[in-house]
Amino acid sequence: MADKNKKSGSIKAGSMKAWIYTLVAAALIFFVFLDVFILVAIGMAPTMGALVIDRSSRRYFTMTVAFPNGVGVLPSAIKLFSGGSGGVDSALELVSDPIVLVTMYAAGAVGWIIHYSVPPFVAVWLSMQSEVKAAAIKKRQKALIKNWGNEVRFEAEKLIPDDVNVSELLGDPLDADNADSNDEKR
Amino acid sequence: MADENRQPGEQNSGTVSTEDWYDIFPDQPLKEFDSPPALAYAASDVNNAGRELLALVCDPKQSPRHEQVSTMNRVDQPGLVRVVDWKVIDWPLEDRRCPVLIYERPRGKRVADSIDSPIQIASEEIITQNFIKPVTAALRDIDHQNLTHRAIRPTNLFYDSVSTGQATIMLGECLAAPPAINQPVAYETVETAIAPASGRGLGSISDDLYSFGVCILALLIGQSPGAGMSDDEILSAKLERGSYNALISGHRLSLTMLEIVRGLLMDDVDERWTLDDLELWLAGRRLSPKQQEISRATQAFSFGGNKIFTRRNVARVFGQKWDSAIEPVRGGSLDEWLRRSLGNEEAIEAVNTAKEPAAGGIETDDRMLARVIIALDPLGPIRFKNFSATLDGIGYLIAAPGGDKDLSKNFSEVLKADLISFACKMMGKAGEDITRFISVYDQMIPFLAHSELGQGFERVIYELNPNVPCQSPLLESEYVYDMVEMLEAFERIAIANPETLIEPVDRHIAAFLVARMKVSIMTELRELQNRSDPAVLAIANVRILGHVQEESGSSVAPNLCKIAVKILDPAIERFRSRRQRDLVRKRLSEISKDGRLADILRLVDNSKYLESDRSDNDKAVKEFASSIQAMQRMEFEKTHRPELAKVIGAEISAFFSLILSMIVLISMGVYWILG
Repeated sequence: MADKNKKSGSIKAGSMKAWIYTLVAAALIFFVFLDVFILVAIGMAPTMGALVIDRSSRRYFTMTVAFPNGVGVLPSAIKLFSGGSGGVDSALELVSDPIVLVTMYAAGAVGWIIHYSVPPFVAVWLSMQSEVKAAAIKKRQKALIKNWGNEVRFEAEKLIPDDVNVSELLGDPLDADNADSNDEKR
Repeated sequence: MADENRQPGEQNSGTVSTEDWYDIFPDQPLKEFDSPPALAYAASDVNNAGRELLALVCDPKQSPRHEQVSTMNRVDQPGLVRVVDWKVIDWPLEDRRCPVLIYERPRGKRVADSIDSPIQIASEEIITQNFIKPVTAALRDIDHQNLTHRAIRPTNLFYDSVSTGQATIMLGECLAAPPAINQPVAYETVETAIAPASGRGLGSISDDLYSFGVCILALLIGQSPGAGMSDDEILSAKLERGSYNALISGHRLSLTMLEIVRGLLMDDVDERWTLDDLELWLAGRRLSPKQQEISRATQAFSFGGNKIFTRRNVARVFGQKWDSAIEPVRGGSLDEWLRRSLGNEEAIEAVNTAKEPAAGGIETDDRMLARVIIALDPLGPIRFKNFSATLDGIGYLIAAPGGDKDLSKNFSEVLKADLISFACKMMGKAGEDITRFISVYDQMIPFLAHSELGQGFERVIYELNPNVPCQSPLLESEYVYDMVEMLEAFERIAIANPETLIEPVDRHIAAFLVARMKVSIMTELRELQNRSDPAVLAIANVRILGHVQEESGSSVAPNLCKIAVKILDPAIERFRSRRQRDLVRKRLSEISKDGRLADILRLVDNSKYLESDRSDNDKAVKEFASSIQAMQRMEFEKTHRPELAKVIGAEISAFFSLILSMIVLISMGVYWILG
């Protein structure tokens, strides 16, 4: 209990610290690099949106949007710096350029697209992986029953908790001598 | 002459060859030499074609005295047909294994074809020189070998040449059946004649001398003494008047011959002539045997319609009419007769002792009657209801085929009632020589008290009869007298009737093995009674067969091994792994070809293999349990797959996004540098 409190306390402290660092960095950018701040604040809007929506502890959604969004903002930021310290006006000029805006937001949109399109594929992959694994387990179980008879199953059932419904998981015991053919019939 | 390349046991044109190269010709019966129950056939020595032999094919159920063949073979006398060898052969005429005795063939014919047929009368001189002298020498040699003949009768005497006038008369064979089993009552002493033919026992040289005396008398009078009388009449006459008076029955003998006949027919064994006396007589010294004195009562004892004058005859009739014999004993008429008519104080004392209840035992009328009979006739056979046998004939009696169904029970009663020790006590001085029987039969008591395999009446049969073959129904067509023959018999059965060997050890085989084997198989026999575990039963059966093989020497038995593998199937099932079972079966079928049961047992009854199998099984059980838990986890994942896909997908998306961004970034950098 004490550990748990300590752990949640340290997370809280870490989170706090992160916020302080963020605020300090933001204040620094705001006062020192106001033009960059304006560019980032407007260009990284998709990331901000993702940050607001993302409730996960690791902020994977935010990261997914942030990486391409950052890449999309980067050329404009370089352009801003390459013209010398263009100041707020140059930054406003850049963000008012629809091409620049589309570039930054399109990059952010790629992140959003990635975030929403990957999980269905993952679900399919997980399902396939599960089927392969189940088949491998069943094959091994069949091999064990073939070698040791149904006794191995009955003995194993004694080792697992009572709340596990083995019949539901494995079906009825197989004829050990004809384990293969029984399976084919099934 | 047989082909030198021929293998032992090989048959050629109906000829049977024994492993030691005697050819026996089933198509050449020699009826004139039959010695019932053994039948004679022509035989020849493969290595000595000129030697005229005969083979006596014995009745396997009346086991021959084969253990005495090698000793009797040493007796090389003109007065005895010489035994050469003995073998067990496949006898085609009976389609079974039979013991066969090889004898030198007598040149002349039998002295008497049947016991009632007339006998060629010869002069006293010829009888002395051609019969008494050679037979005495033969009996001397037989006695030197500690053997007895026990088949001396005219139908078993042979001339040694075709011309009978001057031919030596020889004793015939004596080993083809249990001792004295074919002896007519007239040729047996009173003691052995009272006992049934199968219960007479080996007896002593004195019994042979008595039979010899009756034979001399038969040759002198030209017929068998007692011809025309029933066995009962002969016995009764011997008991009432003494053997000499009973058998001479009006015939007159010269003084010389009277001496020897009277001396040999003495009923008192201490007074009967010995071999020394015979040799002295042959040397010309004349002895005058005492007149036999029979203690006769002044008045007859009436019992069961008989008028009896001697105590021994009373004992005989009591033994015959057991159920009614207790009446005169209990009622006192026997005591009264003993006191008033017989006046024999010693008999009165003995009967009184017999009537006293035996210490420690349960007293019954039957036990008391048995003791009274012994008291009346201490030298006679032990009698108890239908049981009757001399002390050394008990073994032969209980091993005889077709015995009384109550034989075992009655014999058990004889032992429980301590009748043997009582008989020795009653014999007085004569009993001192035979006290060894007390310990022999006492050893049988625990066997009879237990009914487990390897015990019981069957055990007693084999303990008391070292020459009796195994009487198991499984070995019906075999003649198994030792471990070599037992193994070979099993091997033959394994080829002919393998299904009968699934449970090879029955009560007779168990008892036979326990009695004959050097190693103890009691543990295995106890395991055979464990019907709850077929594996233990199977292993015990095969282990016993393995012991038989060990004791039989280096013989191999591949067919028996094949059956053993089948028997051991429940033991193979002890391996939990089917794969291991298949491996063991495969290996067993390979090693069974070598024919050694010990190798088979080493593989099946191996604790190391079994332990390894058990440990593998434990691992398999744990693995199966883990797989069930893995399936359970997968089932959980299946129901929560969208959430899981979302979490993993987010992670993968972030990673994918990072990689994509890096690629774009690097491309931009490259474009920047190049552009």
